[in-house]
Amino acid sequence: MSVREQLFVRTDGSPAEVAEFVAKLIGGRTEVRDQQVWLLVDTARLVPGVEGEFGGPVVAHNSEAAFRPAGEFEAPDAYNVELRLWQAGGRRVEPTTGADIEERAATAVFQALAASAGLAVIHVHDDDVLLRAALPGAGAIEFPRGTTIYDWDEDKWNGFVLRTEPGDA
Amino acid sequence: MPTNAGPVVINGLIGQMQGALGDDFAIGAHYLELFEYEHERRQAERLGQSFDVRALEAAHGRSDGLGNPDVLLRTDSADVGAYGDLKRLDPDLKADRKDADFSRRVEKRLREPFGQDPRITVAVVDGRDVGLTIDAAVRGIRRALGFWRQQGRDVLPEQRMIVFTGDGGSVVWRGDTGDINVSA
Repeated sequence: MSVREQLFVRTDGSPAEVAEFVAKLIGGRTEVRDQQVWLLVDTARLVPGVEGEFGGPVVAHNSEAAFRPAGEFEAPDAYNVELRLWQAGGRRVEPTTGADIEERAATAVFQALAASAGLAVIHVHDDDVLLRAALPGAGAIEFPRGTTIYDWDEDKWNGFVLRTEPGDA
Repeated sequence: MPTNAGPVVINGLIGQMQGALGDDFAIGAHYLELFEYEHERRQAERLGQSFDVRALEAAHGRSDGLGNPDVLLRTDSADVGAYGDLKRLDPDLKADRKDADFSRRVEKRLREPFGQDPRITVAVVDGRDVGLTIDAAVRGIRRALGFWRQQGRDVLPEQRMIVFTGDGGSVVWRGDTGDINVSA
């Protein structure tokens, strides 16, 4: 069903360390498959009353800036660990309200991370919609719906998206 | 796959695993009830005009990829099937003047499925809801290919990019020939 929820984290830790840290925060677990770490949690821990298992691989993320036309950039460029998350074994849409369960579950993971860790995090939905960001010392922000990860929306990011790539600082 | 509810068989219907379908091959979209969003069903139905399309259940039990493919596509009864990912341009997202034709967003959606999951060889982007033009679809495909060139990434012969345009047609790139074809 496509990967529709992504959290990007800026950290000195490895993807495995990030996965372990998040698993403890949200009452989930990690599994290693083909040398790749997965984060998995009972969806009900994130969205009460919903069956299924939410999660996915936690992978290294490299900036793509060097491969794009000059001057183009995107919000995840400076974040070096990516959580690719989806719902399995249960509904993806809340039947009465039509609410997007995957988006709600990813939001819960984001909020746990933002509240507990001194880490910069962004939440991206449907490949290029920037929903929210957290920055150590500044707190978290919800972006107006329609804000994207693309350079033309940089003003809307309100300084909550890191722009310096790891190693550049 | 093992779950908290015990072993559960998923994707056990005919054609939900790779393998030739023989007499079960049938052009059209199958198992549409697995899609919870109407736009997913519409996209699978559009694909089903040209392929045997089998919807897949989401799983975390796979060990051979890091994505979540939506469908298996087949072109004939001997085709073992290609994993495909369905993406769309949401009409709630307004065009920006810096991407007035949506081609950058097409590129983003065409590249993402191939990024982490080597099983996925077909990326499908539905631009019908935003009235995507043929020119923009071609530009999006060229942008994706240009990105891969910069990256030094090899194109594989089995890879396909399929974009549905606002006029009801499609623009298709094939990895084996490198051609971009426009169909009404």
